[in-house]
Amino acid sequence: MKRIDKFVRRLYKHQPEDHESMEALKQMLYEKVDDLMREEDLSEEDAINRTIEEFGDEKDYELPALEKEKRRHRRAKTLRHYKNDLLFSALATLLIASIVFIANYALLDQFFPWVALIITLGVLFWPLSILYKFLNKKGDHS
Amino acid sequence: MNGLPLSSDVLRGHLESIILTLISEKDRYGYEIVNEIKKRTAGDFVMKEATLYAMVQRLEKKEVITSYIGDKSHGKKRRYYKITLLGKAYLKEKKAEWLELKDIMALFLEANHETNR
Repeated sequence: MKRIDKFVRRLYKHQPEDHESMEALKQMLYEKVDDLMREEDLSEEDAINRTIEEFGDEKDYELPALEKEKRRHRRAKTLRHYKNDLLFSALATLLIASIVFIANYALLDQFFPWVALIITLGVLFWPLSILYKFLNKKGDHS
Repeated sequence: MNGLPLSSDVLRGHLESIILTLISEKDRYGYEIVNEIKKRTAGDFVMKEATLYAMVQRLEKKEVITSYIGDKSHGKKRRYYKITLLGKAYLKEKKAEWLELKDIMALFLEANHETNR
């Protein structure tokens, strides 16, 4: 029955702490294996194979809690990616702006603050667009 | 019944009623419910264990059924599902809903059938 346990653990990979639901599902599958062995005279291995094959796919189980947890997990992952992108683009913008200002100040005889500022504003659109996407995703609760 | 086996999608809104009806007749365990549905529909509707599991979880949460571990003759222990008082009232309501729905559908589909003749 270890394969049944493994199968159920895989189904609940996003919710490993929900032992009660996992035990209830395991029990239901053990019962089927036992019935198949007794009533259809299958070997334990065949009964387990059939039980797993016939269990159904995602559209059948639509386990409400499990599906919700999966969506939450996917959303958290996307938000994490956006956060990383935002941090990277903000740091890169800061670096580019610093280089522009320093180069402008150190290499040229005359300081052109407007030129440096326009370049900085142009680069600033990068983290701003990521921030926009991040806030949009964060506000999306569907 | 003829034709292709029905998928759970077609019956999705009525799965609760089907399961509750079977449990109201007598306490049953998971695979017994799946088998009984298959037997009564002559294989036209086979409920996957995944669907059944999701449904019984939902019904238990609604407190219309409860479960207990019991013995099966010549077998290992089984988790039996039992209808509660609330469940009986819920099933009665579902049955009334179904009769109403059936009348409405008949009104349209049968009328359409007449005009197509």
